Amino acid sequence: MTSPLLSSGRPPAARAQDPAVPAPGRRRLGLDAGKRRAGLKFVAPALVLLIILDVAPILTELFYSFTKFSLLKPAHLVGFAEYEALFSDPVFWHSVLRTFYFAGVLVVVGIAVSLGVAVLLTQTIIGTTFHRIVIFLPQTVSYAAGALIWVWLFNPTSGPINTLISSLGGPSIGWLSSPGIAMPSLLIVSLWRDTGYYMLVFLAALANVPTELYEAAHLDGAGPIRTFREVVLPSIRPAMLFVLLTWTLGALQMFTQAYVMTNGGPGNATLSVVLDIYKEGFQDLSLGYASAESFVVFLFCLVLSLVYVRWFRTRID
Amino acid sequence: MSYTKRKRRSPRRIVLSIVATFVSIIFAIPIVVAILTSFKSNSQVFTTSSLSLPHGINLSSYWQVLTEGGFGHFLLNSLIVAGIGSAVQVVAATMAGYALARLPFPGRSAVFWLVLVTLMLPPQLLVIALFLLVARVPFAGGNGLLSGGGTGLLNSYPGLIAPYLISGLSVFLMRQFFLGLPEELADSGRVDGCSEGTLFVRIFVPLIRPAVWVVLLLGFQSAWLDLLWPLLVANTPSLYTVQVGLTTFQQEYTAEWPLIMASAIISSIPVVVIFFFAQRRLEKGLAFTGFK
Repeated sequence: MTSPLLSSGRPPAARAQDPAVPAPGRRRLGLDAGKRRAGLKFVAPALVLLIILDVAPILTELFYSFTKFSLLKPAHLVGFAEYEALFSDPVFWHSVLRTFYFAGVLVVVGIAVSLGVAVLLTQTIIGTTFHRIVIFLPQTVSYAAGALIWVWLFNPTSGPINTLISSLGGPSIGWLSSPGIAMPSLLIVSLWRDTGYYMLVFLAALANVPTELYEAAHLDGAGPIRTFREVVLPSIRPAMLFVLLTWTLGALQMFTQAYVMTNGGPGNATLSVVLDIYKEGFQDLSLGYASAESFVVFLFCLVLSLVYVRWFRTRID
Repeated sequence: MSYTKRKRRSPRRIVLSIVATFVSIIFAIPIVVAILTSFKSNSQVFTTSSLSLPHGINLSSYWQVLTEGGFGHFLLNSLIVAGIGSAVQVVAATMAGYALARLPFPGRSAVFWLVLVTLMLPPQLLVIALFLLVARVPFAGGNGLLSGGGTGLLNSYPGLIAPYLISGLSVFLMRQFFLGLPEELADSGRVDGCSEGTLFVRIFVPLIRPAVWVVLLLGFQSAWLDLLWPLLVANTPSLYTVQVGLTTFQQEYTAEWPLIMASAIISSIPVVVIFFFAQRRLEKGLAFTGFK
């Protein structure tokens, strides 16, 4: 978990000794031939696995996206027909919008909460280790198990939350059954489950901010807010990119919470794109259609990742 | 901020401690309620408050989940799938990361680009193609060499494990870690006539160990959490992973909350144990990789 996409270069020490630059002398040349053979051997297992498990599937998916295919009958090529059907399908666009809503809110609120908690835990307070462990604990609960726990918490008649609300004289809330509230409920579950991990990432990044920077800001008379904006945020930018990228891509692939808690309902209010792909592909057996849908979303994720990386690079330079 | 030495009992410290405690309580409540509910009987759940203590520690729900529910077997399946998947992944990624960082070989930049593209490939968007490919593996599940028609590796351990055997992210991370090590380390070994394999195993891998642990845990966690792939591939309960077990258990025992909470807690215990033992290694690894 380094700053993957940002560290474009290698450290100066390593660059000076770049193995790709041949050193003079016969001895060196002999060694380089050995390195070349070893390099191919070392990379082979991962390369073969990547080709079989990533490259072949994406090409297969691209191929089937141009076919009509239902598992029961052989696939036949139909050109862009499935893409046309996809783009004119209101359910697809609806699921795209619901997924954007989910990912957008989760990432923005999630970063605010996990960074806020991380900053809070770097202050001199009582029991930092305890708080760190407790907030990390939901991370050990899987999405499916966490979803089940919250289905009980959200239970409209006898669940803890509504029991508490009604004992205070409040109304009974349909956490998972009213279209406007179901998605926020799923967001609460995801936020509860994910925050601990990203808090740890931010804590690791905050620990690496040089103390002198805080001291300089202090001497300059900067208050806590200015210190945060001008010292902390720029220093943790690589961690921020990592969190933004992994959390967004994870949220765009949301499946388990919706599958377990609402099955996409009520009235498709929580139908995520991946759940829609699952339903189209494996319940309606429209595999060509589902392939086209997967490929479109894949292209979107690819573009989004590149935009993020570019955006952060230009802001660093 | 934190660098200033403040008095131990400053009001600021007390206010911040209260805020942190409040946050911790919010994050802990769902787990506490789940544990309390799991110890109750089904009738107790509907007659007592959810935050009330159960009448003693009643483990019958746990027993029922493990025996009737078959969760012992589901947990074993998940451990096999996530264990083998992440082990293969970390070995392949460490070797490839070393080669990409340290060994010039023909086509190195092409391989690196491939890694970068697969890094951005969301795995859940590949399930359809993976499903079709796994179903067509030659000579498995009634398939001929090229003729499909059989089930291939569907409904088998190899089919379940396949997607977790490699990840572009692991390779990428290992490459970054190896780039951070000084090259001179290898020179002394080379002068002594060590082969590249010996150098890798004796010098580089021990230095990179904290990062290996981080990549192993990430790989394990992502395979352990996955629901969609085992839902598609495992069609018999003997192959269910614990996540699939949870969803079928929920459908079978609707509204029997003590049982469902017990299943959710049992499914989390292995991960709690793993994090407990790996905690120091994980922290070392995070400090090592450090977001510099």
